[in-house]
Amino acid sequence: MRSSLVLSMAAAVLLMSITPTTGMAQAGTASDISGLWVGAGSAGNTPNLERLPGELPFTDYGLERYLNFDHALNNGARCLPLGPTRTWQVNYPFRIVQTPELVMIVYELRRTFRIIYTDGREHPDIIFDYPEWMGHSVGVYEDGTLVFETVGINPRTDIDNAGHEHSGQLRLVERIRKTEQGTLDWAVTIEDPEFYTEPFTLRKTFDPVENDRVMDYTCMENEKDVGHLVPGVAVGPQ
Amino acid sequence: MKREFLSVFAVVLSLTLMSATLSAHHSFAAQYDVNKPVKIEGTVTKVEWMSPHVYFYLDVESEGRVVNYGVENGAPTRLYRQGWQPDTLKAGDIVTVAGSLARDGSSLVNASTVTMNGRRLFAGSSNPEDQGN
Repeated sequence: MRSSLVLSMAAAVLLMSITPTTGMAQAGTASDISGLWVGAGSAGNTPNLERLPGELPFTDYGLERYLNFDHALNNGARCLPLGPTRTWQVNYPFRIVQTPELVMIVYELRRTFRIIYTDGREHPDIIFDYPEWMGHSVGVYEDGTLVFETVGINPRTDIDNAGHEHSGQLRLVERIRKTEQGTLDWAVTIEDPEFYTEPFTLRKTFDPVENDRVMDYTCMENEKDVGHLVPGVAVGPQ
Repeated sequence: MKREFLSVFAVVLSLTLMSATLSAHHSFAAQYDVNKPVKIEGTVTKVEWMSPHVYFYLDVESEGRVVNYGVENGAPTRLYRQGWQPDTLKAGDIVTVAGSLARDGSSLVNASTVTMNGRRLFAGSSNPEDQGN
């Protein structure tokens, strides 16, 4: 409990340092975050273990959903995209490609990608009516940090492997910066009033990868496990 | 050259233990029962080096009959980065597998360890209790 309190305080401090992103139009100088990166994976818990399952600020509805989450019925097992936060949780490499207009993150896992527009555009009007599996992202550079907002995230994705769900109201503010040590710091503030009573922040560090590449992970190539998943035995916190 | 990968498995394994992770595309607990541990030895009949899991199949003789088990491992890229090659295992190889049986009664095993010729290979298990094996 003591450690969770300390970690919660750390998360709160980090949260306060994140500026709301309604004013994404003011772009700063781009910093180089390109390259191949990988981070350690984590099992069921949220990506950085700052908050453990059950410690998130659930609404009553969010808690009920979490306690009754059936892992056998999860879309992730059906080789669908894992969504913009859960994809960070795994330990497969990804490549960041930067242009003046956008940042593209190419993930090995399931050969998915995200595009973060840095050209000043806004989210498309239709994004909430037609959500996307990885959402729609726009961002700017602030003092060497890429700050970007993602909305319109398909609610069939999850926040993590632990069964933390979200609604179509999910809004993410992510920050990516390269540290002096050459690692990549990532933080996300998660806001979803349907599932969580207040925003909370997760973070993770990634290491540069040399002599490797984004390899092939095409999930449907030989998927044969879904038919053997047993509903009702892996429900709620794992 | 390929066999050089096998010679460095000890080093690879130690590194693996330090960077233990889980990465199955599905819940381990929804498919496998950690309370049904199994250890089988048999002859490899087929290897499927494909995503999301490397599967190989094993003929295991027990009490006068042969059962063909399907053995689930980690993803090809994970195993490759830990020293496997697509032909590390071939039909006809004799291997020992320790792992957990499927909940649904099928002859599927999630591998915790795979041992061939006395060498323990990285299996990329999704069992939370077997991280790094």
